[in-house]
Amino acid sequence: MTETGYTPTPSKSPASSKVMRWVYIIGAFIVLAAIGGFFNRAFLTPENGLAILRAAAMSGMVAMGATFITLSGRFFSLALGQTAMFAGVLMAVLMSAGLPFGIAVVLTFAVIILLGALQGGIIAMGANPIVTTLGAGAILAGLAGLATGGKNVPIESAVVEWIGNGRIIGVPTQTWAFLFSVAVAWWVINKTRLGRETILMGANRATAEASGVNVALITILVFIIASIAAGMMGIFEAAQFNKARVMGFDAVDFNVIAAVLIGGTAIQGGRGSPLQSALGAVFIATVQNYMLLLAWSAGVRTVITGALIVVIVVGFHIAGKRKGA
Amino acid sequence: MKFLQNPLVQRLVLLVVVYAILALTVPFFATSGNAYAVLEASALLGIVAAGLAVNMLTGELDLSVGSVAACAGLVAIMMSQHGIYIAVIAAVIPAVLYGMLQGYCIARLQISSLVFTLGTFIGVRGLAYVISDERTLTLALSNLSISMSLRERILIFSPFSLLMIGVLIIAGLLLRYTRVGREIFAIGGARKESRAAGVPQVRPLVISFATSAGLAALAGALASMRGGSAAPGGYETVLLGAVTAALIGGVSLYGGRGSMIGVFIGVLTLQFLLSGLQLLGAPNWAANLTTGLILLAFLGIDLAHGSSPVATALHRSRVRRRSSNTA
Repeated sequence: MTETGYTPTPSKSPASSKVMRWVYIIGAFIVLAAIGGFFNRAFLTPENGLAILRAAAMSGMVAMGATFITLSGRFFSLALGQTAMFAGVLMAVLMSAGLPFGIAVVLTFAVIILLGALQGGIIAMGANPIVTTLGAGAILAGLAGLATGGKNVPIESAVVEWIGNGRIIGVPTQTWAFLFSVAVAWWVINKTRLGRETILMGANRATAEASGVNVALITILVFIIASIAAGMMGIFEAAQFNKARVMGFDAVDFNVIAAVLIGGTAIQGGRGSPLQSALGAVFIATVQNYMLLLAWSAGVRTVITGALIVVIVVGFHIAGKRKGA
Repeated sequence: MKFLQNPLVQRLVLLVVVYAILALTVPFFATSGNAYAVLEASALLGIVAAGLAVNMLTGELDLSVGSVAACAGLVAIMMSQHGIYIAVIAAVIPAVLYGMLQGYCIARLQISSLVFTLGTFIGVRGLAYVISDERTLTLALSNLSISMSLRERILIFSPFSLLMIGVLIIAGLLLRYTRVGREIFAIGGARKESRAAGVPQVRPLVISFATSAGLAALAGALASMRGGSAAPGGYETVLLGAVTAALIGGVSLYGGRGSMIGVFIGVLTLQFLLSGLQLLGAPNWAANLTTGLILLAFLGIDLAHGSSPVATALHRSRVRRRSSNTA
């Protein structure tokens, strides 16, 4: 510790600093909401709140899975958007071939898990995760084109219709799925061996390996988890529009990575949590919703999202270095 | 048969084999018209890949090249009424400055370039939407001569593809014979050792990121003027193509290994395959699928050669076999 302040401050306990962080995050939300509501009446309405949650739910769901990749120290995946698209297309194609919904979903997830395992396997051998998933994404886009000929595939099913547009106690199904995935991700990270090993591996891969963590297996598992999360989003997306679209998934990767990083999960791995990523997703959805209400253009919104990522990543990087010194 | 173990020779053989197979099986492939078309299509990819290869040699990866190319294309179209040279300069200089700043930040903060450039990748793409007002910009009718002059056919070349070859030659010479070029190889091959040996750590990174952004801007500006239009969402797949071409050409993602001749071979191999698919009438998605598969295949080859766990394991087993033979 090289404290150079005038008054020697007692080192804070981890628990209290954790509480303080939550206070900061929630405080920032309240301030933002108050400012937003002051300048724009339409912002602080229950309908808009539900709309924000619904928008956050889609990328938030995927961010839950992507958090595992980042926590394990494998940076992030650039194939999540295409995985989502591919899942929707595969389900639609299987259903239009006459399979019932249940079997189609099971088969889709089987394929998605296999794809995630393949990517994880290549990366476990030491390949660059970004370039691997860039290639995998191109292949998935190609396969989706192969299956559909580049056209949207309609889905006709009452169950799918309900999954896409139903509400349980007034709250959209997507939001429930988001909350459910947050709970599952929190439980896995905090209460299971897999979660602890993931964090240990992200904090220090050499130590993890030396203490008997199967690094290759964890790498494969985190990519499977992320792929499942992306596949879930793809199916909800297809259900919402009653058709599997082959376009419009470009922004998924951006939003997911932004949610994870803005939530404060360290990009080097080892620090962070799914709850923070969930808050990050809600934060981004809130900011984007507000910019939409102000009728700012998509370009300005994208610039601000990119700038936020750079600022936050650099900020955490510098803060982390200072702590380590 | 020692020379067959040279990776460049292996990749050249691959190029010739790919060409021969396609020439024999695909009608109209081995025509001078198609050679012109392939070179024309390679020009954009080749220039971007040259910059990205310089970047990969330092062991970094600039994800923002596609966004920079899109921005540069828009700027070039906007400035086209002042003539092609002014338009290109107006597009390239801001990109070089941006690349220098980016390289400086990455070197000083010692942050992962993948993480940093991810943010700029998104931000610069947004900038493209802002400066174009979310519209596709087209060349004014009175300036269409610019587009014509870039396409003008000289044997199988055009000014654009000749420029690509020129850029590759100059970049290759600079990397090989200048001090900065050697520094780029040094910090890519062994970052810690180079530091201990007194190689400056910031300057090579600044130059490497300035090159990747500057060449991406040059390629984007010229390609947009040749095509006569620039869309803010354009050049999204150029990163994929450029990384694939560089990997085919033997530029390692782990830094320190690769050459501009390799990049040229890689770009041509990829474009031959894509052009063959196109001549066979394959739909759009086939190009994506092929590029992705090739990328993963060559990623595997890079794995077995670079400083990855797989390569170390392979090396160890080879040494063990040799020592047990002699014992």
